Amino acid sequence: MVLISPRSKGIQYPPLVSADLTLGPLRIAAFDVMAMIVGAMALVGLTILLRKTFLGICLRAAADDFTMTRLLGVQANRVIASAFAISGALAGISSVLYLARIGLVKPDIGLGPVIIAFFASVVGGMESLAGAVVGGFLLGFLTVGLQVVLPASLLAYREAFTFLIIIVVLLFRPQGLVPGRHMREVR
Amino acid sequence: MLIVPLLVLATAIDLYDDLMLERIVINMFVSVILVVGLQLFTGNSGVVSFGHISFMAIGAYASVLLIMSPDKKAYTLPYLTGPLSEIALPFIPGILLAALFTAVLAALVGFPLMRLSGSAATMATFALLIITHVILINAETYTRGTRTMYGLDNYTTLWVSVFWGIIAIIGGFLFKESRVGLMLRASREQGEAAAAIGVNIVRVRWVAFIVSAFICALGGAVWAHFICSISPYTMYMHTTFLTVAMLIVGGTGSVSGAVVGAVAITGLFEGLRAMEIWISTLRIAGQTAAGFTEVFLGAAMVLLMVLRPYGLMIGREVRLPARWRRKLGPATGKSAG
Repeated sequence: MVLISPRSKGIQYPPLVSADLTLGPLRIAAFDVMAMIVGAMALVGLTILLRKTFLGICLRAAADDFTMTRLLGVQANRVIASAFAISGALAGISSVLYLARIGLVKPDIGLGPVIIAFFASVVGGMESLAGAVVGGFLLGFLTVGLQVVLPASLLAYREAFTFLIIIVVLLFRPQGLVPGRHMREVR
Repeated sequence: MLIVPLLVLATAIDLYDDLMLERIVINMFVSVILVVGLQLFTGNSGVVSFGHISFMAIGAYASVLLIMSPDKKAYTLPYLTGPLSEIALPFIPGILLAALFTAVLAALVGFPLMRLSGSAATMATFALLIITHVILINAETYTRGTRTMYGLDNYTTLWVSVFWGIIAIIGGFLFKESRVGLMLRASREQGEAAAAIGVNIVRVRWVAFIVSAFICALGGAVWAHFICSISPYTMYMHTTFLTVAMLIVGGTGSVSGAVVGAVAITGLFEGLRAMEIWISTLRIAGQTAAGFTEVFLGAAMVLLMVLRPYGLMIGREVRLPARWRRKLGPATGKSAG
C-alpha cells in the first residue's frame, strides 16, 4: 500500500483475452478456455512435482509425519519454505487469471478469493490435491446453482444458503469430501 | 490480578482528560471484552473460532432494537412494527437482554457444530460469520441493511467500558476454573482420555460456546453505544481477524493472555499510527508514510509469533507473587492454569 496506492488501478490485458470462440451453437469466451487450460496445466504440474520429484516426496513426508521426516535428514524448514513458495507461485498464476475478469487491482482484492480457497480446501479435504479441486468445484456449483434454483424472494440470501450447505457437508464429512491416504479418526 | 493495572490505567486516562486518548482506551476495553469472550471458547476448547464477531454484531443490533427510543426508531427503522418498535429499555437491561438473545441463538445454532473438531469446526464458525453477515445485510426492517444504523445514544463512557471489561475478565476466569471449564480443558488436552472419564465433550463445548457468545454480544452492545453508528461491515472480516490476532498474540490459553493481547495490539497500533502521522509531517522525499502502520503492525506480529509461539503470556495467568499468596493463605490459592 505504501509503494503503490490504496486506490484501485485499472489494468489492460491484450485483446486476445476478450475474444470469443464459436463451437456450433455455443459461444465461449476464449479466456475461459485459456483459464481452464492454464488451471489444468498447473494441477498436472503440481501433481508431477508431488509424485515424481524429490522435493515433492519431502513435502508429502513432512505433511505426514514432521518429526520422522527431520529424523531422516530432510531439512524440514526448507521443505516448508518451498511449500510456501510454490503456493505463492500458484497464487500468482491465479491472480493473473482472476484480474483478467475483474479489470482492476487493489491491495485487498485477495480477500474474496482466499476465503473461497479456505473453504474449498477444507470441504474438499485438506489431505489431497484432488480434494482442493473438488472443493473448488463444489463451491462454484453451489454459488451458480443456488442462483438458478432459489426463488426470487430468497435470492439475496444466496451466499447464506451456500455456506449453510457447506456447514452441512462439514457436519457429515468433517475430514473433507475426498479422503486422504489415511482415514484417521477425526479428533 | 490483571484488573488492578487496568483500573490504574483507566484512572490515569480519566484524570489526564484527553478525549482522543479516552476514545482509544474505551475501544481497547471493548476489544478486551471481545477477546476474553473469544478466549473463553477458543482457549478452553482448543477450537479456533472465526465466528464470534457475528455474535458481536447480533448483540449490537439487538441492543439497538431494544434500547433506542420509539421516536428515533420511527425514522431509522421506518418499517419496523410490533412490540420492538415501541420498546425502549434502559441501557443495562437492554444490553443484557440483547446478550441473552444472542446466547439463545448461539445455543440453537451452535449445538450441531460442537461435534466438529479442528479445521472443520473453524471453517464452520467462519461460515456462521458469513451467514450472519448476509442475514444482517438483508433484514432491512430490523437493521437498515447495508446502510449505517445511526442515532444511538452514547451510553458507553470510559468507566462503563471498564466495568463491563472487568465483568468479562471475571466471567472468563470463573468459567475457566469452574467444573465445566476444567472438563473442557481436559477435552482440549486429551480428548479420548477426557471422554473415557465421562466428560461429555459436545455438551461442555456447547456451554462454552453459549457463554462466549453472551460475552461477545455484550461487547458488541457496549461498542455500539460508544460508536453510536453501526453497520454490518464494521463487524465482519476486519474485526474478526484483528480479534483473533489479539488472542493469538496474547496467548489462547489464559484470560490474562486475552487481555494482554488486546492491550498490546491496541497499543502497538495506536503507537504506530502516531509515528506514521509524525513521519508524514516530515515529508521525507515528498511522500506521506501511508500504510506505515499496517506494515509494521504485521511485521511486529510476525516477530512476536516467532519469539513467543504460544503467545505473550504463554498460556499462563497473571497471579500474585508466590510469597503473597502463601501469606494470604490457602483460600486464595488456585490450581495452576
